[in-house]
Amino acid sequence: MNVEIDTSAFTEEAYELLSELEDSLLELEAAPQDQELISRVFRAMHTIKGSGAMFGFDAVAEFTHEVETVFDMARNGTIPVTKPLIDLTLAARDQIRAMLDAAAGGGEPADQNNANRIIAGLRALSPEKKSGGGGGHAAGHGAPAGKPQAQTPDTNEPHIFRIRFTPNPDIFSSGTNPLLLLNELRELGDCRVVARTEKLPDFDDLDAEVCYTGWEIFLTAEIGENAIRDVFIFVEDECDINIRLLDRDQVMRDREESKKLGQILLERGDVNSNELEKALLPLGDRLVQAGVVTPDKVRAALTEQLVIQEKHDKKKTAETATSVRVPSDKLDSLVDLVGELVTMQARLNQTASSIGDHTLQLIAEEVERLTAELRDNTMSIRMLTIDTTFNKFKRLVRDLSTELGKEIELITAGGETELDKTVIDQLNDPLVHIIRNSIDHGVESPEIRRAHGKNPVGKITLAAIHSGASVLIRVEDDGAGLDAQRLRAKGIEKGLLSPDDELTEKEAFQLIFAAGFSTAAKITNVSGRGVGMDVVRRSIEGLRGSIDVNSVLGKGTTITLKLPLTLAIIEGLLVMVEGEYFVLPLAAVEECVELSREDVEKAHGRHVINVRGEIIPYIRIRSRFEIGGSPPEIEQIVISEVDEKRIGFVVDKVVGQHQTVIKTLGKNFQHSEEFSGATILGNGGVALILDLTKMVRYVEEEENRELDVP
Amino acid sequence: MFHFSLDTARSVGVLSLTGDLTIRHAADFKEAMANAMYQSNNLELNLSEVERVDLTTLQILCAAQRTLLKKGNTLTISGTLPSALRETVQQAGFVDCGGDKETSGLWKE
Repeated sequence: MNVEIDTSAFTEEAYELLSELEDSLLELEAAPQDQELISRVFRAMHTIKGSGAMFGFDAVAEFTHEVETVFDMARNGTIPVTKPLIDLTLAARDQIRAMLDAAAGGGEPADQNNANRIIAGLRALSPEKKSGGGGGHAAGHGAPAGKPQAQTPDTNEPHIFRIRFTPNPDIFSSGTNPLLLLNELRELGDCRVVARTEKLPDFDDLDAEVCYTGWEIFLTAEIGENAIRDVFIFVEDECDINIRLLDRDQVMRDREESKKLGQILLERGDVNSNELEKALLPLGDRLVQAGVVTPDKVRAALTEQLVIQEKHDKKKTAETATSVRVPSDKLDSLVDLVGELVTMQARLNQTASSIGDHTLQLIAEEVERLTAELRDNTMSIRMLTIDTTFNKFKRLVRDLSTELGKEIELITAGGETELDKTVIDQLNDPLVHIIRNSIDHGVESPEIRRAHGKNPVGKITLAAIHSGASVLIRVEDDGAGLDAQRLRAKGIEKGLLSPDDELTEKEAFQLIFAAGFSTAAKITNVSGRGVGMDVVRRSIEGLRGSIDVNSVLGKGTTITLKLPLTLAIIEGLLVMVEGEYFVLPLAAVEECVELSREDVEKAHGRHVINVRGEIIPYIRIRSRFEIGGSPPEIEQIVISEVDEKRIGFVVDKVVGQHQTVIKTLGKNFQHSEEFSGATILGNGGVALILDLTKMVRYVEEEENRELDVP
Repeated sequence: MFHFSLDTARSVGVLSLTGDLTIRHAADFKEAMANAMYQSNNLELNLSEVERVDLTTLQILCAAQRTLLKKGNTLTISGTLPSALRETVQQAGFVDCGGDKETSGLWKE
């Protein structure tokens, strides 16, 4: 048995449960009455405790047990769900996380004092302050929830038990209330109770103090039969109890489907096969009419059918949703290999067409198709939805705003948007910085907000949307907004600009990305240290993304991140200028048109062309990169969308579509920002990948500078 | 605890019950029911003031319902059912008790 693998499976599951726990707690804070949420919290803790004990994480199990005990009281309504309870439970969740980290990574041991503090706090919340450490017994006697010990392995999977419970007629005289026993069973798991009242006599013959009722209970729970027997331990002599496990897995597999009603009645001995055949469909009704079975029996059987069917359905959904956990470096090397394959395939294509062998070309085309599919598949494996990242911020916003005495609501949208795993991983820190800034500098305190006639509760919106080959992530707050004048003054003070520099509002906003720039008057725990936004910009640009600020003074600030969907392989358009190859990202390309000498003359020296009545400016790659030579008689303009404007790029020749495996440029060329990378062509040559946005920005800046000079 | 009145206009006997209707008063309750059934063919129960019931209550109601149905008469419940009562009915698995759920069930939702 490989212990390593087992425990890592547990910790991974536990991490997932912890994040679910966190989500549920935060939701619960908004809706403290929601029983479903309370149960979710309880279940998550219960599972962590149970599997923790099973994998030998005794400290985790013990600690979780303490927390669970208190939360169980909340579940039973003994104590209300209050903010202190949620605060403490969140702290407990962090503590469990720390304990797991320590156990899994062999890092620093979790702070035991902190754990004791949390437990003491939680105990103080419970009405009966239990003293003494260790396993205080959980609420609800007889419930196995009270023991953090490992359960027998075969009890992990929920089983369905049919319990036939028939009390003696004089059970009331001993002071026993059978309904309380039923309630105890309910604590064990999901319970369906059907009363069997066939012994109930006519009203006139009824003795009010005799128990005529029996029950069929269908219990779905992760327990053994003994746990059920324990419930009846005090009434064993006064009752007839029959417990049967309805579904052993192999039985389920053999049957492949739920039992038919008739089958169940037969098996239970409620009806014999002759009687069954006499009464065909609708079976239940006929049997009742024929007086063979009472309606109660049919109902009990129907309930049995339902319970089994439900479990069966649950199983099915569980089966379809199976997934495999793979370490992400395996995925990375898969992507690398696919990249190599794509490059090789391009060479194969080229070689095949130069040899001119028809059969070889057919094979090459087939390989091309397969490679493309393989590439798309690999890329889709790496795609993750961004909602996990978004959900983390709910906690951040909650904790920070409490710390700063502000009330802030975080609204998220577009959590289902998918992004490459690498991008998502590297997106976390920049987003933390931005949101921290919004909370600290952006949203004002409730008093100030009220004074300005705003809703005292601030709002931060975190949204993601697709836009071509990019994803836009918007962080919007309804806070104070950026003050361009103050930014400018600060910039001068910091020596970032000279006093007579003229700045547009937009340029002033860009100052917040300068290193060492912070307008916060005082340094708080949260921000104001002047690191942050420059780091944000660098990391976003490292992801080949861009960042944009917009702000209205007094109304709020919007920061938009534009990120590429993937960092590894893109569809490109291969073009040629004087024998040099370049790649334009295909997602931005809209159309290609010809540019003849005539067209150039018509424009009187301006770099624009009329395309179906629309005037489109263009940039000549040849002159931009100072490639010599003379252009051909007819050039090509690749019209692309850049920053929501149409702009043409003039090249000698459009070669065609190209699967572009992006290779980063060497250190020496990293400052050439007009290129986002390079790729290897089929013939072994290198083509530079153009960063259209940056290129347009540089050209615009240069032209503005030229215009400024009178 | 038990109050009976005849609604002659609707020819229904109305039995209003209050307080604790558990085994301690089960015999009395049965007697009150028997009296009511004696005075009127059709019976309407008002349970809105009932605080607690237990299995004995449910058995009496269920048996009464069946007996009345057999004679072609009715037992109905008027007014809102206290949530504690509804809960006990659920817990005891008596929701379906006393006739057909669709047509004549006592505890129809």
